[in-house]
Amino acid sequence: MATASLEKFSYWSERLNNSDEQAFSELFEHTYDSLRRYISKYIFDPDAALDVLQDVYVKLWQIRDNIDPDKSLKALMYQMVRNSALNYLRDTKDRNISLDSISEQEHMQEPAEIEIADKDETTLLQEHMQKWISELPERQREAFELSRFEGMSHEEIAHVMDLRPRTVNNHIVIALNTLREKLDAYKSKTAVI
Amino acid sequence: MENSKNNLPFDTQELLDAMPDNERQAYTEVWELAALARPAFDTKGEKPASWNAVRNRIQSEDSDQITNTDSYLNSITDSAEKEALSEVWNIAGGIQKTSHEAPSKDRAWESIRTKISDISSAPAHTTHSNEANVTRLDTTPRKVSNTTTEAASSAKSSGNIYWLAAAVMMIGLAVWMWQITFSATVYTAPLGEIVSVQLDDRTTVQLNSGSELRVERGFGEKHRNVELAGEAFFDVEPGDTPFLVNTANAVVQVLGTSFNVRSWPGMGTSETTVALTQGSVEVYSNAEREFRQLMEPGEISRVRGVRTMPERVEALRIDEALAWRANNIAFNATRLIEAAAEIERRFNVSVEVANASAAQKTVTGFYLNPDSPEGILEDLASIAGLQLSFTNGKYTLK
Repeated sequence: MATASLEKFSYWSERLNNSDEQAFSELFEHTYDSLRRYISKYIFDPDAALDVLQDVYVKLWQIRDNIDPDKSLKALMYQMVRNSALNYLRDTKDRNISLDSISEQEHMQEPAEIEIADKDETTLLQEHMQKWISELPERQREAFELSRFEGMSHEEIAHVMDLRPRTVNNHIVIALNTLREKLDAYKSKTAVI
Repeated sequence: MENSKNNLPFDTQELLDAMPDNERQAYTEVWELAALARPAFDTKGEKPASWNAVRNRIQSEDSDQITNTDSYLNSITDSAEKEALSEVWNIAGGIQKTSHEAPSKDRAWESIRTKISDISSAPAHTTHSNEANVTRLDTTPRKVSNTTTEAASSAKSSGNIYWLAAAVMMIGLAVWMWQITFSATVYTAPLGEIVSVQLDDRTTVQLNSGSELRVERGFGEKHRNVELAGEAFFDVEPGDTPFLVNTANAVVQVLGTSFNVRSWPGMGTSETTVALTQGSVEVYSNAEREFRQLMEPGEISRVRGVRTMPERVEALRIDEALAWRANNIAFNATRLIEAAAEIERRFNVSVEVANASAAQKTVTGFYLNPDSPEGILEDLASIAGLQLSFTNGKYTLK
């Protein structure tokens, strides 16, 4: 799924300021899949994830007058989702879902071991890449995924993750290095065959 | 957004661009490969349900806009839900009562429209008199009121409405001059007829009644672009130049394949529906070219309005989408107002739906090679709970 341009998001911000429901529905249409994917990394219960995400959209509509079209609406939305998800996890700590267990649960969600048979080169490499990304340290992975999968700028990621843009850059540089090393190792291994 | 703070790259792409050549190549490979690793996440089914929930919640919060049940019913965008609830509402209060009560939004739009009617070429219509209730125009209140604001404000800023009229004439003249300079071939299927044409690249096009296909000069040599207003079935000759079908709001891009494009003007929001029978095509909104949908044979896709992504239409069957080619008529959850327009084009008759709320009801049915409109119109009347009459050469459902 492609991501909408900065111009589109600032257009939507302006339309939201004017309580334009049509624009809001477009925004929903364009952001839902990405935010759904994003929240699923925090809340694994699909029903709960859905409820939290719904609340975020309603909240966004409630604050529509205060959205600044000059600031990234995209970053704002991801930040809202992230905060709501973390709040949800905090509030449901009793039910064995806690911030500490995020990484644990994530390991359970890792892609299953790759079956070498009847898979073409590209699919195989793709699956390896998926695995390598999931093995990155938590913050690095998050910054890298926001950049790669959601097309965010460093500044936007910094806003969402509550970091300095320089730290975001560092996370991404380190992540790229790690991934390159793994790719190089993978290539030299397969080249022998 | 600040571009570079302390020489910091704006995003990862800029980070890559700033690398020395040999490095950049290796890292770009990683970056591109990583894009493929984006996990697929299936939200089909979940998304519409979720949107309905969000919409209902924001609408109940904006309850000041919903002044009564009619305006609430009118605000429901899901047509099936709207139909079901409206039916309950109508039965509860007797149908007569609600059909005379025009929703407040429509009334507001009416009054604006009456004020600007001298600069609008479309005839104004009155909602209260049954004779003049031409719901064919089917304006989407929000969309049109935007246009109104623009027109009204430009009239105000020039201070004189004649300046505006003069400007419109100048534009008209310019368009006309442009047209005679760069002449294009326009194929038209008259009302009541289906026409087949062969283009210079040997592509064949079957045009449904009342459709217009415009082919710019240089077709087959420099480009393969056509413009469609209406509905047509294309059997595109394979070639190196992409074949592009442009409609009011969407583009269908192909290399060589067979497909149907439906995009009738004058039905409110521009809508383009593509049904693919063979090969593959890409469909996208003409205002949002980055969101393309690659279609597979048997699939139907729709672009509704501008600035939107194409959506898969699951409910429609491909044989229904192509029914017109064999002179059949298929309605599948088609709004009554659209069904009436279809009959008008097919049989070259006038059909008026003089009941605003019934016009939005949906109908489903299939007619094998019908030779007159009467039977179909009678069915439509009985489904919608209306009476069919024929006076002054015109069918009226009311």
